[in-house]
Amino acid sequence: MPRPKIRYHFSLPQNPIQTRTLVECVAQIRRGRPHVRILCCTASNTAADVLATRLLQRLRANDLLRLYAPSHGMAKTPKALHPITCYDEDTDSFAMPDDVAAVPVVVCTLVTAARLVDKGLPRGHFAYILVDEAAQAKEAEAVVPLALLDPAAGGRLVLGGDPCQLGPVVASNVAKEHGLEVSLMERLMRDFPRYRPGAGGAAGGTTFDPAAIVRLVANYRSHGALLTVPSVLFYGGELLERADRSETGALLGLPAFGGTDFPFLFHAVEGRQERQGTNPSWFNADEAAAVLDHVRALRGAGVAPADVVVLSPYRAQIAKVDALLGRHGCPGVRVASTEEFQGGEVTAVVITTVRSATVADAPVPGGAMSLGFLASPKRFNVAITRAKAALIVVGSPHLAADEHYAALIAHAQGGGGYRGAPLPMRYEQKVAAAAERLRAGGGGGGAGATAKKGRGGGGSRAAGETHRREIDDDAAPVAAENAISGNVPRGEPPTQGVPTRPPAVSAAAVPKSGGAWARRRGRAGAPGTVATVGRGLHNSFAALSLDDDGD
Amino acid sequence: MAVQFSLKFHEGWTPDMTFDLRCVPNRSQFVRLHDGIDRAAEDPQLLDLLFPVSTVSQVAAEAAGRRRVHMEWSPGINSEQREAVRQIVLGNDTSAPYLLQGPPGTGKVCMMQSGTVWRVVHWGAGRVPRDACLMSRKVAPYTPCKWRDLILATGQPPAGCGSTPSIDREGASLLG
Repeated sequence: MPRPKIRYHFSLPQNPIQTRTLVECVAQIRRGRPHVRILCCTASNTAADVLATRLLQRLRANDLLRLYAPSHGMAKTPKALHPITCYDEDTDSFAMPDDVAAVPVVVCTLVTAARLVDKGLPRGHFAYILVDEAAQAKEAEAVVPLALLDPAAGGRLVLGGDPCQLGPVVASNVAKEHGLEVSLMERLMRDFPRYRPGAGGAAGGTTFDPAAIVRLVANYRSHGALLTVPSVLFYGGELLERADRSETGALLGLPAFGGTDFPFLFHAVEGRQERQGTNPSWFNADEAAAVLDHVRALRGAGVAPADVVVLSPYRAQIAKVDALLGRHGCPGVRVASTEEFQGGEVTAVVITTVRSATVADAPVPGGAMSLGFLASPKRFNVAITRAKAALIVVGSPHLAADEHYAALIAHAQGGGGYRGAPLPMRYEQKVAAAAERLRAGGGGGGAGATAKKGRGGGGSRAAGETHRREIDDDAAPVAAENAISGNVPRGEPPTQGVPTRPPAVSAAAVPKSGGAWARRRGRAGAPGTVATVGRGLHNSFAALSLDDDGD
Repeated sequence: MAVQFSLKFHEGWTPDMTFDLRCVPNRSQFVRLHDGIDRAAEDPQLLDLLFPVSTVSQVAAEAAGRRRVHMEWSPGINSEQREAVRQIVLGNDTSAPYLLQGPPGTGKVCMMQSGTVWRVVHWGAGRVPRDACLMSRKVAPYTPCKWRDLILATGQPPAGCGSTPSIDREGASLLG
């Protein structure tokens, strides 16, 4: 009988740059089209809080509403966001402001957006719906706010995220079989040609059509040698190394890297995977010992405990390594699962993959090992992209049976970073093919070739910069007036039912619910507090936001 | 199992009281997801959005690219981000969602956040039934909650979380 599974969902805001880009979008829309309303959603409250905090740095508090579920709890709400929430002290819950229709920017989770639908806001109320971390949301969540969007009238849905990293957490196998684990963003990129490279006659047939999808490719985290494999396997060889080499090259002197210019090591260990008692999770004592050696070497080289993280997919191994490190003078080094560390980054990462071709003293028949959930490309991608300056993978050479690990091993061999047990003969061809793929996928001196040579700045990087300069030159400044009049999509969103310019809010009209919110809104609408006495509340927003955004 | 009581409960509570404890799973999340899907399924316009049939309108795409627009950028927005913003703000092809893909490391700040543990007790077959019960409970954050508060309050990650926010380069000052 299978044991009940408990999955942990750590919703991490994983990409500040992507969030930042969405925040910039909101700010630009507010400036250029102050009369339209924007809904910003994320899959989790944590990510929504981060998004709202960033928006608060760019917009006026009066323009923002952070909408929570009624039962969310004030204690969990960041203090900085209190001014933009509608909290009702009487019922100790988060209320829906009566004047929600007049709020230009609403931030909430995808599911909580249903409150806006229930409130009766009309189709087309929001001209933009921006979803951050969309690849971590179930598709069923992503469709909730769409009832407020009218694409035919110029309403736009924008999804930000990365489907190549861990997606929504779904525990039920039945639900997985029916596709609940696939996010809307992933399905769109998988199934529809417009989101594939070469769509819309984009340059060379290899790049994305920028009118349909943009991929941020400038990597500010890792040494080039650590980017090659994820870049080629998951991002079409497009990732560009932009991190400072003085930082990412800081650990090249480690003995593990043998004095090369290549901070990546695949340490092949022919270990034995074991279980303890009835615990279904695997551990591997040989790999744990090797991990200890590597962590000690890192500590010996002066790396702080907080700058080293050990990742393993198996709970039992995490516990073993944690205990081992504590006993042998390396306390404070974090040992975590890939899921827990998604979104994190650290100077040095040691990965122990645990699975081996030998189970409890007996070789697996035929020598082929089962990879279990090691074979998940998303988990693989997340694990190998956490490190800034050093990545050490401790694992069985038989991992080469999997194409992703074959690429990892090929990359290690190419840079002189393969140690330990020899690669079994039968995988040599597979690894050679993977090496060829890395060479080809790096694309004329891109990330792949960069790492091979161990030098920064390959051909494609230079080409990328040229391309970008062209883009910049293209944006010759003209009057902002033209911008505003010129970029109004076909037709404005319909405004029936909700006046775009509601009459000024008098003190008597201030809703009773939501104490601080109502008081603040009352102040905002009161004549005399804004320059535009007698004009609508919404107009006041517009006037003020234009002034404010000029930073 | 952790049970939380409100202040009102404490006010009225006396030591000799006894209680029956009953767990009622919260179904509102599922109801909302179902309502969302039902609405989308009945709406041809939303179905077109979720299953975009059209190819990219070349006219629209070129118009967005050619449009000479002056935008004042906040500091630290690099050129590829500007391109993305320009497409999102100025593009007028609304027949399909616009996608913004952010691979790992295109940000550079370590942000460990607290999370919620979800335990799915039962999930029926096929279409998720309305009576599927989902039990969620809040647990102590995995990493010190102070980090999250600090990041949210100051816009800066705490010292020692492995990042170096002071480095000045294109795209720097992520949280600023």
